[in-house]
Amino acid sequence: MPRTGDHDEAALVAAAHGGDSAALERLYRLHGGAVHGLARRLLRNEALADDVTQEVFVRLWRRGDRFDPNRGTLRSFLLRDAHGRAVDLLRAETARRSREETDGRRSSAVAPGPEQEVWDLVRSDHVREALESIPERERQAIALAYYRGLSYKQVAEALGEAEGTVKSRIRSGLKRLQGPLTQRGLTET
Amino acid sequence: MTDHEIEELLGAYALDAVTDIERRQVERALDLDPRLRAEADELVAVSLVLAGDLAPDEPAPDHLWATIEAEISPPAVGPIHRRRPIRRRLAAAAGAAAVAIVAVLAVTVFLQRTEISDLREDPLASAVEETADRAGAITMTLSGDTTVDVVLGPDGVGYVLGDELPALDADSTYQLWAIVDDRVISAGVLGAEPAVSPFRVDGPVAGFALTVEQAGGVVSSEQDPIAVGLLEG
Repeated sequence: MPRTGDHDEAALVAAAHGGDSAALERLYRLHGGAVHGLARRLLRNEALADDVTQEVFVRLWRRGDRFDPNRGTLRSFLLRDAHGRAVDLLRAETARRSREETDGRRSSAVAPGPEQEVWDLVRSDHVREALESIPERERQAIALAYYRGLSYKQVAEALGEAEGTVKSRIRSGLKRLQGPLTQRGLTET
Repeated sequence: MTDHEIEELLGAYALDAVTDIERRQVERALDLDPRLRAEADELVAVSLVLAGDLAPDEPAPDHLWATIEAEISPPAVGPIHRRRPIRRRLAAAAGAAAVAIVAVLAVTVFLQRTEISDLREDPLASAVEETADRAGAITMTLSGDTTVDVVLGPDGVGYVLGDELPALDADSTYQLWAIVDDRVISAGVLGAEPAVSPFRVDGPVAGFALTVEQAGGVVSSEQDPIAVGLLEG
């Protein structure tokens, strides 16, 4: 169900989708910082974060009908969109590095990298504690997928696991995270 | 893809850890099955906590609004042409564009052997599915300012899955181009609101590009492609 204040945002989204640029600007002022910050932290690149933010709000303008206030807040909708666009760029960069490894040296295209890099992205103690509460292999799969932008197939390659195993671990890990995050009042549902 | 396979994918879907094709398959299944939808919503809610944790409370960058405002200004088709391609920098870094038509584009190609079985509601679904399942068939995602999936069979018969492309004005059309032997040839005029569109191309295909043209299409394009994909090797 929409919450107080969500109706206003839904009306702004509808207005923006209908061609009201002032409505879109208001939404940008409300949520542009969060969208840009998420993209910047994932991509570690200001210019690419600009691109992601621009794309997210232009998509909201063109495809505002995709937002359903009954299924979550606008902020969540925008952050999910931003994560998806940022992941596209991370994967393109991974693919580029993979193409460059053509000198005969066989190495993984998606080496996991230091776990500390991932942990540095986690800001909230609550989220950190919740992640630490689930089995390490589930946490590792979720971290590589969400914070490094790897597909589950790339995660499987990076961890030397079967794709089915990784899919299951991500799913069970997310289910396991739900409890502690909900207890701390962090989930929307 | 079976319901069980969709179910197994839900976690990866919630984390954006699936391909575009898999995402489509999952979302079509979610539209049909409330139980799957409920689980997906729960998993997505968890991923949104991770997203919220990544997103700082900071003001929106002032300099970006002018860029966004310029992009959404009329005419309606203009923004697609004027838009700064999101992957241009990465493409430039990669130095990947060897064919003339993609000189200004970013390239991201995901070659996949993918089952496409959840397009049942589309009249061309079975033909797409059959083509995708044939030995030697490829499924690729053209990307740039937008993304679109193309399925190409070994006999040169293919399909553009254009159902997620934004609608154009009535005086414009999407047009698909195939790169064959270093030549760029029209593979189909798709219309202003394409869904699943069949096409045929003869000869060894090195890649595809998608442009926006005047209604009716053109013989040779002077527009920057809005999406492109190259076959490697």
